[in-house]
Amino acid sequence: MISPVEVVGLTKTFEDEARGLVEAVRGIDFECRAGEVFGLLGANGAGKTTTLRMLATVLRPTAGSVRVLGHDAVAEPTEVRRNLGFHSASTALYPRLTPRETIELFARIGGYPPKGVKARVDALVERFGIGSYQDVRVERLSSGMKQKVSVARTLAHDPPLLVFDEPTVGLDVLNALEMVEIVQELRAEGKTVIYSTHIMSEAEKLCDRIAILHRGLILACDTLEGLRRATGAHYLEDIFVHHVRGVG
Amino acid sequence: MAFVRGQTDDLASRVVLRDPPADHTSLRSLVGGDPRITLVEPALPEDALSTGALDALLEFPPEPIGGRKLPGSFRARIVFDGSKDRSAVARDRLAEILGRYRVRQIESRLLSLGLDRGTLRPYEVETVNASSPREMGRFFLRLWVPLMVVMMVALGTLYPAVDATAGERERSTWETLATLPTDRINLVLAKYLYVATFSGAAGLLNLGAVVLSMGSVLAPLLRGRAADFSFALSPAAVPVIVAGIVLLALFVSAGMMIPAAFARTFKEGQALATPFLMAIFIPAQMFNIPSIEFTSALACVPVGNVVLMLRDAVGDTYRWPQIAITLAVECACVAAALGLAARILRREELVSGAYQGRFGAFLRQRLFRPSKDRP
Repeated sequence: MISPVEVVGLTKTFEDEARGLVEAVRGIDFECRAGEVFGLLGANGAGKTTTLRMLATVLRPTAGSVRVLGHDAVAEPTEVRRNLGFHSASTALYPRLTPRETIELFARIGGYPPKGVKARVDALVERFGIGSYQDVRVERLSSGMKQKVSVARTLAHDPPLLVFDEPTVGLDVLNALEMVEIVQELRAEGKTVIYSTHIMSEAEKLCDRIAILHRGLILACDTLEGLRRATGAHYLEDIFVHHVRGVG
Repeated sequence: MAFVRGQTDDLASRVVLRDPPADHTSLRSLVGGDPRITLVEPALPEDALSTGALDALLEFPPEPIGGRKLPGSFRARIVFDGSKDRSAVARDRLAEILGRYRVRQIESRLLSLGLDRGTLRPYEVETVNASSPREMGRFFLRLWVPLMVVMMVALGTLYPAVDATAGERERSTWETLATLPTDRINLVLAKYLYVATFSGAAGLLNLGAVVLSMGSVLAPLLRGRAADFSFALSPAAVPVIVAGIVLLALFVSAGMMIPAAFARTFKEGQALATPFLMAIFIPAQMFNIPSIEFTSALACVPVGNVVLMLRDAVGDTYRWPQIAITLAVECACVAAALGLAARILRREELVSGAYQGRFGAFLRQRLFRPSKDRP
């Protein structure tokens, strides 16, 4: 069976005017299993976003490979994108479009069968409870509302793999909780989710397996129980600190 | 300036007539009787002139002409404020009235000497404008249409170009677009066509607006002569003008997207695109000077060649070799600018917003350097 995501020796080096060559990701390997929520846990600057961007074909790896449902991210980027929904750290919406127009637009250009677009939009509007403001311009919505529209937009073309890059950043407690519940529902539907966060409680609650990423390296990758066993610590925060301090 | 002059033409000039010569009593009635002149008597005429309450002061200094006093002659001095258009108009009116008075004086002196008016006027000059109303209208259109169209194409490009590049980055939507299941060149082309459509539409709509409204705009200035002008384009001019606008829009769109792509915010994008805007405006204005001929050499100058082509077409003149050169040069510019834009806009550093440097440094370090040196 093909793994939804296979990452081997993935490396990304940037050229920075001030700092010279910066190794943001340094030869990481991991694999996601179908229907799981795979967590990328790391502090700011650990390389989470760079990893996800390579996975989503926004960035080209300097070395190593990414395969999404058997498609190579460099050789077959269009196929990779067809199978993937990318939710960036910001809501990334067009302010002048309404939620309905946004979802419809991304369903169409995402390659959803044209005849089913209307039904798909209706279903997503219903599912995320955005019916009451589906025809209001996005610029007039609250952060929580925008986040829901953004998730609906990510799901518009019904991809099997979803990538969430710190989706709860800037949300209040209730909206963040709702976001976590949405991801849990997606897992229940059989979607594979890669979820990047620096919030330990979220990772504990959501992720089937967690990769601890620090300075571009994966220090540990296992289930929460596995990580506990390996370190002897109970809380994810302690596990994280244990690994990070071990690197120095 | 002509429009301002047109407005001041309707206003009476406020003039002070100070101490006219005693033996030229008819001068006061001649000046005061002119419907364009109102004689006023402010307490301090010089002050009134500087504040704009007075337009001109006509005085008669006692110094003799040429160092000696001639019998029956006088010296007149018009004091006006050259920085005020209304005052300059008053000067012209007074000079014209005094000129008429001089002729009248000479004629009366000739008559008193037993000579007739023919002595003073051995011949008369008459000018006849052989232009048809359509040609007169086209003269005005040639002055306005090329400049307006080029400026509006450039201005119409600015907002969409910045929105499609810096705007996408500011909203973080560029990253989202980059994950859509299509080749990145398709995204660049879609953006380019969006910008070029707005650009071309701005040019064509403004062309229509100028042609349709020129008569109404100029009517107050033309007064009774409005019927002498017809502001219609020749049907033969339309394809040439449309081709010029479309090519210009394609070139300007690609060109403006290049600097705007380096901006992280909309405001920054506007600032970065402004030099390109100026690079369009300046040749457009220079080439719009009526005395410049549309030669083959000038047809090789981008933007300027379109101005000259449009100007000729509006005047129903078609220099086909120059038009062919213009179209070829503009096509080459479109291809070059689009190629560079596509090359830049596909770079992941720009899509992700990771690149922090400037346009020149980017070209030097990233675009024209062998790929083996790049990470």
